[in-house]
Amino acid sequence: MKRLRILVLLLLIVGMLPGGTAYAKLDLGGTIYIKWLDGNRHLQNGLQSNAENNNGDQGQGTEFEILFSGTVSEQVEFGARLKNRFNKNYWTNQGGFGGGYTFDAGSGSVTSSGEYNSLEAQYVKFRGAYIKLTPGYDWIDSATIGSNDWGQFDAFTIGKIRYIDRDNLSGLLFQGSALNKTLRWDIARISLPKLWAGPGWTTGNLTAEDAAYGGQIKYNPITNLNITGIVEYSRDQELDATDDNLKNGQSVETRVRDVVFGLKANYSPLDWIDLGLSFYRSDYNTFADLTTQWSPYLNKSAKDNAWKVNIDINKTFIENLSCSIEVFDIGAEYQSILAARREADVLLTEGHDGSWGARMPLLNNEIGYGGWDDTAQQVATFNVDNDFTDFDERMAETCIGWKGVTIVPKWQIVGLRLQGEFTYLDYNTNWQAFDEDNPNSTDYPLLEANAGVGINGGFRSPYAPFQDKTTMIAVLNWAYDVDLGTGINLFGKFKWIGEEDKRVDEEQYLSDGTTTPWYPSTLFRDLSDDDRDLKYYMGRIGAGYQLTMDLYGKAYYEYYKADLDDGTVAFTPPAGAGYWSGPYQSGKHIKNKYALQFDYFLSGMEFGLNAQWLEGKYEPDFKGDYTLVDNGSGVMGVQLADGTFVADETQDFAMYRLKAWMKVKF
Amino acid sequence: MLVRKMTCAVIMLLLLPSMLMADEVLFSMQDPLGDDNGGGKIVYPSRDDFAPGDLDLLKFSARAGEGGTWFEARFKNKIRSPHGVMSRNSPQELDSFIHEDFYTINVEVYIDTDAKPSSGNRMLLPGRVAEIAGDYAWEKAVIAMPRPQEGEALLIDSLTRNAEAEYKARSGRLDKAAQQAIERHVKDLMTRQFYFPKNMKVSDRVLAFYVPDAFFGKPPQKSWRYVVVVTGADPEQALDVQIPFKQRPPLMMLPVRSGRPRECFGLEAGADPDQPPLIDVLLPTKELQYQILDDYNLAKGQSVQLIGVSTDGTVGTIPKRDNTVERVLAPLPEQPGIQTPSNAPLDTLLSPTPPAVETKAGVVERLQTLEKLRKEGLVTEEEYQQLRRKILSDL
Repeated sequence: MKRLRILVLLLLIVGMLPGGTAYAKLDLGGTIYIKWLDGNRHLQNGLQSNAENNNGDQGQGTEFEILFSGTVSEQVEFGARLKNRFNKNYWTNQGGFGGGYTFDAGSGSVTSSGEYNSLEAQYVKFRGAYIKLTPGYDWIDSATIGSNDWGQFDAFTIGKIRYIDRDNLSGLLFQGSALNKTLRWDIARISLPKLWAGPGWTTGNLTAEDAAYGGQIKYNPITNLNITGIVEYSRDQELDATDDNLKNGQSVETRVRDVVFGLKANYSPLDWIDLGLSFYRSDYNTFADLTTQWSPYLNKSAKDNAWKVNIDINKTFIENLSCSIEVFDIGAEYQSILAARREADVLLTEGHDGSWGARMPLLNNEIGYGGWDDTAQQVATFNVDNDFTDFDERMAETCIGWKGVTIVPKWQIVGLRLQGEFTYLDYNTNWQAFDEDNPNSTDYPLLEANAGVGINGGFRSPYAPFQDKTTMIAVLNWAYDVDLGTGINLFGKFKWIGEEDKRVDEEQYLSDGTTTPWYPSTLFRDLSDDDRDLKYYMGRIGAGYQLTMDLYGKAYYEYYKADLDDGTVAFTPPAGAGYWSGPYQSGKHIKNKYALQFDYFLSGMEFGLNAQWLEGKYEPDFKGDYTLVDNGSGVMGVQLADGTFVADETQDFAMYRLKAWMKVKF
Repeated sequence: MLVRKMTCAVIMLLLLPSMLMADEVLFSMQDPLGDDNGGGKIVYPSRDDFAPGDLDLLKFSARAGEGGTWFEARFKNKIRSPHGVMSRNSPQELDSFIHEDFYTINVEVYIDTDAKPSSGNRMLLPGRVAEIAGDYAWEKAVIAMPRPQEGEALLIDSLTRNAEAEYKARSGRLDKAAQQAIERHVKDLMTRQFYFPKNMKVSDRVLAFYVPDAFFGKPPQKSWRYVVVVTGADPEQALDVQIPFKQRPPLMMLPVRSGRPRECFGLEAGADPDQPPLIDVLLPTKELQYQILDDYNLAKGQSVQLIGVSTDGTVGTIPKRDNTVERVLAPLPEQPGIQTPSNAPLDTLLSPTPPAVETKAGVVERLQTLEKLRKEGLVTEEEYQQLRRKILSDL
């Protein structure tokens, strides 16, 4: 009887599928991506220049993915992705075959190569799958159940998931339209990733039902006006430890709750002008005792705003001259749990350069001396993550707390294409002590650096206990095509950044060393001792040429010079503060980059090569503040307060790195 | 008061350019707003880098440049830049291999330069599932796409493959000498009939591309007629491999599929999935575009027939379907001792599938199918006779 009931049920289900199996279509595709890294650091801890604790600049590896997509009927479609990642899957692992399984009890990790180490064996993993319904009702266009890249919203609220995590995040998405498609809406429920979407990079112990909810309405009442309203609500819950009666179930309590409202409008009153306004307000609440300062979110409840106004003038009194202006203010305590972490750029300014983005560019760790190519992308969170990237990708940096104005003119004159930028940046994080009444407050996360971004900085450290900073950025890009052969593409750039941070600017924090543990009065004689002053110059010149129909080549040279005077490195952070001050880097930094790039295309197969040679030097400058001493080995230098000895001699750097890749999409 | 005066002065200053600009505009044609849905049922891919209006062509114009012509296509929305955008297929940023400043749009311009109803080519690029009505058959095609070099290389591959298949079907074998002759023929066709602009500019909503007069042989004439088609670009071309469950990829273009797919354009409920993936076509009215793109019947072998627009923005009447246009392309040059395809017009080479070797059995099967179609009333007597003659001529 039971079997019969199941059979009837199955028949009913099959019968409900419109069109039956005759309609079903399956499309199979995929990509093979092969990479070869080479460099003179000889690190083989991973096939990415900047992987999570597994950096590498050596070896060959392959990524392979299979995408299934298809339609079961006109109303039902599906898709799924299987993929392996590079990880430590070197060709020399021979597929991970062989090698015993060993476990290091000390570190708690698997240490062997071999079949049992998922990072080293060639495991293809299920990344995600979805079923999409398009029922044909008037009130709903589609419902997607399963994986998604969540690019439907925006980088301030629910950002598109970065490439390395794509299809790993699942949920429900409903989309519809009304008013003759002038109004479109999206409603989503996204399962919160427990690995990073909460304070301390965790959503706690109870995670399975933690979720973010998003709603969005896009309205296009007239041709030249678009209005978008967004709301995001996320909630992280934990077991209620005070509930001692489990007979009526287990109570839960909220650990973190975040609500973000957004309103965007774009209006083009005339053919040549576009106006844009974006306003967001976050209401972030924590209900747990959060004190870990190594965290991508605040440890306290806070409300704050982020907004920007854009004006694009596409035609001016000079032919081929256009101009974009952006005024912006990103609150110091703006918090959106699912804001884009990278692969998004919320501000017009090109910001800082990736070449100095790593927090210790002078040391032979992380991405190394060369840093990332090109400029940084700004994201409205300090949950920035540049892991699993190569040097030829763009770095992301936080813009939490930034406020200012950017002007970008573009001009084309007789084939010469010019693009400039001027940006003035002030900071909402300019303050004296996090919390004057509670100097030991752990409300504000303290990540890698005490200087924000740039030299001796990091890319996700918006908060310093003391700050009084301004930044100015000026850029001129140019490009010109010489009509010779198939055309020589000349290009170049000049960039200047001036950054000043007075840090402590109130006497009380020097005179009373007990007010805050950060600034012992014994080390700072006056307010200027801890100042930071950066003058940064960057230049680029290069040429590209289509060598054959299939082969494009490019060569360029970049010059970097940074004069840095950084005062805070002369003290020792308190033990356990999680506050990283960085090595001594005051002085003159000069870096030269010589690069060659090739792109080759053959019947759908793509090949690329990027080879770079970098050399430079660092001349320390002690500004006459220190007495040179002998370190006992005949090297003269300075003994810092934290015990570090800095030699009074020029340091030379040399780096070679190469990335070659091949891609076939089928 | 002072503020008002200053505001007026600023506005006047900003308006000045349009007054001062005195380009020699050769023509300017308008396209309706909101017709970026093909035959009326196409919807954009459900992903963040496409939005309604992105491929909505509003104006197509041309102005004289030094030694050539600047064509300009204006769209409703700002044109998206690949700068900083991650590939959907590999851990790479798009601008690491796309050198132009756009990546979602193809603008394909097929130009009837002789205005002769029975001359020229009717096929579009591979995968467009449409052709051009005989009255507007084209002599010159300008294809603006984000990766012009790669697009051109893929088209050469496609034409060469089809020519080789055609040759092999006729001659039974394909040797090196024939391959070289085909290569020369394809190269000649490409030089004379296709131009993939490399000099392109993106400014806000306008994509401008430069075509030298050397390609046309003379500056654009007022008598020329234009078929302008906008398609969604797929700058990461999939290999054209024949594996089970694999659909053949169109040339650097996103296809159309039922539902709301992410990786290609979708369709509203009830729409036919075999309609052409042409998102916007330059035509004076939305209704005319819908009518033309909806007029096809695959069972009868009738595909969509596009019509050209004159430089004054007008179109003539939609011509009656005519499948007997004489192809006037020159045959392949005969090589001593080499049997080359004596009739390998571009239209044949642009066909999405290479012609199979025709056998007597194949002809019989096609005649039987045709007979069946007539009995079911799916083809008229006139069409029946016409198609019957065509099948028999293949023997």
